[in-house]
Amino acid sequence: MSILRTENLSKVFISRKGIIKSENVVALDNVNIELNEKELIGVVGASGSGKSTLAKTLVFLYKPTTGNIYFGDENITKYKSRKIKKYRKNIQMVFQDPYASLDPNHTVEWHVKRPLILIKYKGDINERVNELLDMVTLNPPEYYRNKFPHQLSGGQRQRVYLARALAVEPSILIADEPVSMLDVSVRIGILNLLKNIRDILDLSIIYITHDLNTVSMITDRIYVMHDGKIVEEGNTNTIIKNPTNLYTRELIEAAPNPYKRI
Amino acid sequence: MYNYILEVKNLNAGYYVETGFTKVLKNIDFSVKRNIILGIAGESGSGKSTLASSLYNSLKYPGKITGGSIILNGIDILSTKPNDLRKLRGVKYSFIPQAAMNALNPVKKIRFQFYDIMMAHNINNENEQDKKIDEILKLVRLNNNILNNYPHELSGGMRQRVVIAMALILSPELVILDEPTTGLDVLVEHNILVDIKKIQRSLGTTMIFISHDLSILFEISDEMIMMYGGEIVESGSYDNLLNSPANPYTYLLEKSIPRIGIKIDNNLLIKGSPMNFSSTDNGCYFYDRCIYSEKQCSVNHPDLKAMKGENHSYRCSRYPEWRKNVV
Amino acid sequence: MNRSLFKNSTVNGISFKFNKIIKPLKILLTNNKAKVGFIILTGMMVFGVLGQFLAPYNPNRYEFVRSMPPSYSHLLGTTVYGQDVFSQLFYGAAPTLLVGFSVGIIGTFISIFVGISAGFASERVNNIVTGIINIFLIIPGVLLIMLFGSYFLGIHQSLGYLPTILILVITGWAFGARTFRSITLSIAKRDFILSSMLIGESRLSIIFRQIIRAIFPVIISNFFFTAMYGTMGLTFVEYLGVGNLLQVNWGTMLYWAINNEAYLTGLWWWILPPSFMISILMFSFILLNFGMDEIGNPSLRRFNSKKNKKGDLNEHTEN
Repeated sequence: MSILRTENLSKVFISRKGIIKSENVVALDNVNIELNEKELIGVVGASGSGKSTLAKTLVFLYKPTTGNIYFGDENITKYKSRKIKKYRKNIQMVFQDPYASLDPNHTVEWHVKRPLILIKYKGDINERVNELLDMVTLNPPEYYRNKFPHQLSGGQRQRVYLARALAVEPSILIADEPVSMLDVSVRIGILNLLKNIRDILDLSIIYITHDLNTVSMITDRIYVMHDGKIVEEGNTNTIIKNPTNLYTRELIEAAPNPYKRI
Repeated sequence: MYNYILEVKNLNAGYYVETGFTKVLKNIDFSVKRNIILGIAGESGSGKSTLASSLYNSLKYPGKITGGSIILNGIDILSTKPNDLRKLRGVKYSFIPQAAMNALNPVKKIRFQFYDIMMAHNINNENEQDKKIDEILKLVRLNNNILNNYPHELSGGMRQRVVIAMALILSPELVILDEPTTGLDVLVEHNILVDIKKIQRSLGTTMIFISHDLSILFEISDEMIMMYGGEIVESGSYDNLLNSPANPYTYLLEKSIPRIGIKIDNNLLIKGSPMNFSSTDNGCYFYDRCIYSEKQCSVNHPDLKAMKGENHSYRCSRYPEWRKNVV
Repeated sequence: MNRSLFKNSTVNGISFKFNKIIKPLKILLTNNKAKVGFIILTGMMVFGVLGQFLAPYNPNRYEFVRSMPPSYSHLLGTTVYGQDVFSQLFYGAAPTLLVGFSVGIIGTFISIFVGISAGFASERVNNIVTGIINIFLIIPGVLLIMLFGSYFLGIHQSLGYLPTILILVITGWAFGARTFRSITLSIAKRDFILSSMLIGESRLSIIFRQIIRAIFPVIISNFFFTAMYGTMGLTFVEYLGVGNLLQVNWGTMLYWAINNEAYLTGLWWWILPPSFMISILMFSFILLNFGMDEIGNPSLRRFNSKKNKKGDLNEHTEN
């Protein structure tokens, strides 16, 4: 049963060149993807392939030019502000850069508390903050609650952000390159966390990345994007073993591997 | 002729901060042989970028080099006068800083940026200049048409190639590259790495390649240096570091690189986050994150020891015992 | 410390608010430029308040020997009209500061309101408001000052300094508004604001909880800048003669001194003190403005290597 589905989704940006001349940049070109319940799918593509645009379109930070988005059975493409707000309670996004996604003027506690207040969480909010911080393995929670983002390392910040997104109790999580800015030694920790969260909370997760290495580790299915189009889709292992598309093959070959000498 | 093109002895550097002075580089000691690619690896906070700009003597306030020497072909560049240093730079050795591709002059065509570099070093004959540019562009596999473009008209990969060409145009003996492929697309990154290696092999230029990405360093380097907490924890040939690491940090970091078709052993994951520089000097810096550490590690700060008969030195007081625990 | 013990007591509440005022001040005082500026400004304020009560003579009385050089009984001599210069300087400090601060506060409020709403609203609103700001920037301030000044000239008596403040606010808010607009535009695109929109924060909440806090140093720096404009503007308005010339402040002092050609007749004690005081006041505003800039923008900071301050301001970055 699909929880989120796009139908011929396209996004065209108009880039102005001077006063009169303008140019259309096609960022998404008839994209069809489907996310099933409790599934962890990957969207793989090089920079400029439109994968970040896809993420931002799915959470309504961009409006699609043509095509439809379905949430469950409902067509949500034409949603206006109030309904968008309601819809966003179901879908959250983790940003690429944990150094930019947390407000430097506020503490960890504030970041996790605000969404709880906004969804009118019934029950003890303080308790819930601890619970969430515990879930993203920031132990002990009391130690981190009053810290400011600049007092934390990249990996810790990304965990805090994850706690903030989970506080909204979404059913879908979109992770846009959540580990590409982090150190090698903490990457796997965050990826494992994503996987565990999926299992514990029954979330559906879209993991967007350029890194085939990490995708092959955690996802069930992948979509390969190139120039705004989906060029290949299917079971992760199958695609990585037998890529049919030339571009996919190139990506697999270029994936860094310490045992492969250039 | 000196045996080593670059010798770094006891280099110390740090930064002025609100609370005083923070030491970043602690007694860095290494030598670079000719005609190799030396990879310097480290996570954030390991001091690798400070090391990169120190090597070019371009560390600016609030950073400061507090001691040691950097000897390039017998000349100590730390005590060289700025004017003489300018004559060395680009000619004897050159430096490609982080994100250099975004630092090209935006209002000048690429051609004239090349001319500027050569004119600064007294190559004024136009035929000679054009010939040099032709040669170098062929080397980095760029079309001559790009000479008439402005930097913003080129893609990131092309700009990075332009920057590499600029660093190589005066045929230096040593090139220092600081994170040259960060921010580039996977495919572009791969192609540039392949080309860098080809160029190095054909010209015989020595290269120091600094990056946080262990995989690409293992792919490209002949020799490697691992840095942690502002000091060298292990150095040697890439093969030694990859297949028989003597420092647990190297071993564990290598084990945590995600790779297609490889299952990561969660027991070998490094706990915690990279260290900060304000930690104490007692004990091993990696002590609290190391799964092989013992009590003694928290007290004794290990020295850099050389492996007998091999081009391999390491910093760990529990080697070779900890290797026995490796399954 | 057992924090839960004081959790709901009012004592803690008050001290918490007190801390909120004290902490920015402490940060301000870590910067040397800001510190010097702050000390001068505080000194000026004390001088102004004392002047209201302790001026040796009535600044408006024309009863002394004319054009007397400084002496023990008249510290800064007297004017050609027989007024005591020191009393005028002492008494005139408060209104000068008052006008400066009022223009600073009101002007900054207007520019925050206009600038942030332009930067954070829809594109159409942004365009309209930007147009308005640009119009106000283009209109020559001198012309407006002359126009409004002469219009208000008749009713100056009853309104005190209000017309002057009004004129200066109208001509002085647009620059700050433009700054706030561009800063807000760039902040609104940052991930942490997008994130707040995603979790469902309202625009007002984002403005008050996040944007204002993020641009706080700029607000303060803009306040000092506008206050400087206000003080300078007052001098200018009075110098042009479109203000109420019977009021005693440093601007009118200069007007009378210059009109009576004090610099030609050798009455330096009449023209130098107000000029000097105004310069010092400007200087303190500029220092505070620069200091705030450095606090808001750490890359401008330079650290003293020898000083090793220890205190609650030492927040280490742990990465």
